[in-house]
Amino acid sequence: MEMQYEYEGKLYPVRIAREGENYRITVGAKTFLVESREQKPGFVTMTIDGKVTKCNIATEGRQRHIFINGDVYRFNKVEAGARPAGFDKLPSNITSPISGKVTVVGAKAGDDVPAGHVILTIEAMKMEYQIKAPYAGKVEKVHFKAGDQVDIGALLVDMEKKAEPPTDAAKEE
Amino acid sequence: MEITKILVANRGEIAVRIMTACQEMGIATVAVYSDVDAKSPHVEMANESYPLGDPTPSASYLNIDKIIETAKRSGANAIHPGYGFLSENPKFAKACADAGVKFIGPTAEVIHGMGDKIEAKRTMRNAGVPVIPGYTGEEKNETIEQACARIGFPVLIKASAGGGGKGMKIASNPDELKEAVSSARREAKSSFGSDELLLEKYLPKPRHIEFQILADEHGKVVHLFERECSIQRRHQKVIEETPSVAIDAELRKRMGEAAILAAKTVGYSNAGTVEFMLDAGRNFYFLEMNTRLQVEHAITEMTTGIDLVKWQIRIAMGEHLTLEQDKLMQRGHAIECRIYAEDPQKDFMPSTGTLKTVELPTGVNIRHDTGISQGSRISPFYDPMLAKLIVYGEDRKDASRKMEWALSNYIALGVTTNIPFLRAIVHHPAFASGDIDTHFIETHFKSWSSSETLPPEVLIAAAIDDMKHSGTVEESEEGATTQEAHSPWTHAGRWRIDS
Repeated sequence: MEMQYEYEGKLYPVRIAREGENYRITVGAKTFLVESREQKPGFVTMTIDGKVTKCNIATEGRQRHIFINGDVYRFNKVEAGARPAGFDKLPSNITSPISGKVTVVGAKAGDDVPAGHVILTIEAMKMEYQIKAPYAGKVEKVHFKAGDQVDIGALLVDMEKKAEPPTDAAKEE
Repeated sequence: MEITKILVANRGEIAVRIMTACQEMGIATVAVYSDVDAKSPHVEMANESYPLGDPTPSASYLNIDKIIETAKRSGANAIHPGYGFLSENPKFAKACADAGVKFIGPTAEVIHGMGDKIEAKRTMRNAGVPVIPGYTGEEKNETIEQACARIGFPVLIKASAGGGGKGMKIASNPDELKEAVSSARREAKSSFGSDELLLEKYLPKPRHIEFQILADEHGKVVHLFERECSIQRRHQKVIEETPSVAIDAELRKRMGEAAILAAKTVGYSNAGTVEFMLDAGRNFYFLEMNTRLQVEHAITEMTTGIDLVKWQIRIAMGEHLTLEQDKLMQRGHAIECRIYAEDPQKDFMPSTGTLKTVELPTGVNIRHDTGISQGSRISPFYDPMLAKLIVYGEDRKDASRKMEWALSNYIALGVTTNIPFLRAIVHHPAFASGDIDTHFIETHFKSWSSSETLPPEVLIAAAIDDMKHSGTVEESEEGATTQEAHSPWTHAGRWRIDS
């Protein structure tokens, strides 16, 4: 079967097939023969072409957290048929990168804002984070008011991108 | 005075640390907790626990009335404030005294005196403790410009009511000064409500060296050597160690004596820390005094064998210090790394979520102080520090290697942590050679990122895991097509990981 993972904007296709007790796995141009044993839930010892590697796996929806050789990798599985996240050219709305409390609202529906304008300030763990307009445009709706608690991933602002005069870069698309 | 029951007015790892000392001493413990902390280890560990309600700090862990009332209700005759929250609030110390509950720390007057940084420096300068040349706004007939001429550029401009690096600016010449002063005033006004500024000589490659002191209520003071806390990010300590490679026995003796003089000058009692800046020419200057237990107290405990929290409690009971300065000794080397729930690749943005997997490194001389456990939810309400990893080695090299090993075997999945960043620091040649100063992180880790690509073994692990679980789903779909789409049985393979 084939799987696809997405990390830092790059896609990684992986092909995997059972071979008796083991697995034959192709990553990029290389194929590996892998033996895998689960020591306890989430704790796996793999023997990849004879080399032993221990790792830990936790999943949350599409998200994969894997600890291997002292490093932690957090990436997404791309579901078959789904459009990979992060490949939209521009977000039409802004979501919260953190959970926290909205302290300042710096724009309202109908406002024309330049790129970088601070639309919301969110306080989390004694620090303040500014949510900035990713591009110049019109604010359609601000979903929270000062004092509201927001969760990570919550939709904060709907924005409409200002039409830009066509440039060479735009013509290429 | 006999202390029989202590209310710990804090949460997280420090509440657990204090309660451990209480239990070892046979003293009953009382926990307080906000709604989101109801299932935290510090609550489960206490003999009694009482809710503080709303998780907002001002409504819970900073609510003096509620905490004093809880102490009275529970019959606690002492309160340990830990660090942060109310630990350096003179009003709280006074409220405890007024309520007849012993505050484990110095008096309200001392906390107040050291809390005002201008007053603290003046007190220390008058007592003969070296203080960095500067301007406090009270120099007669001197403007900021004249003060700069006296101190010499570069100068550091700070908010006098400030902390945490907010409102700090550096000016290297008179032109920069004007701009820096007006911008610092604006920031100070908006952050602290006061636009009063401090000016001091800016030291190019300073080290942060602090001395731990213990003082009883009968005037005896000893110091328990230094801690070097130069590895900082935005004035927040990240890695601490003791002893410091920058000081020798002679300098240690002088700085220790200055720390004791500082404590005696203000009539200090209980545990405290005198912070100094040390420049490349071995000049040291009093920075401030922390009138409480420090986050990094454990490295002092590891190298001296002295339990600082127990001494805090014994001092509060009125006991005499039995430690003698000339008999105190440090052995070996200890390093602490602060494990934060933050993403070093996204400008250290705090990370929240549920800790799904926690597996800690264990071994000889590895200490782990924490107030969270597997399944804990990391909420956005409080400081993002999850835990402290402390190691002890026979020397600095041994300790550094042990720390690198421990970090490499520290598994915490579900919440992004700074562990890979800590590893990179400990691994850095400049750290290994001890060539560190308070600008270490901005010098060597300006734009740090871990791996930009996924190595094959990570993809192999993910693919095998996903294949196993998709297999379960496929089989059940084939066998029971009439089952409800949302029946948990069709997703049995995912249970263990999402539970």
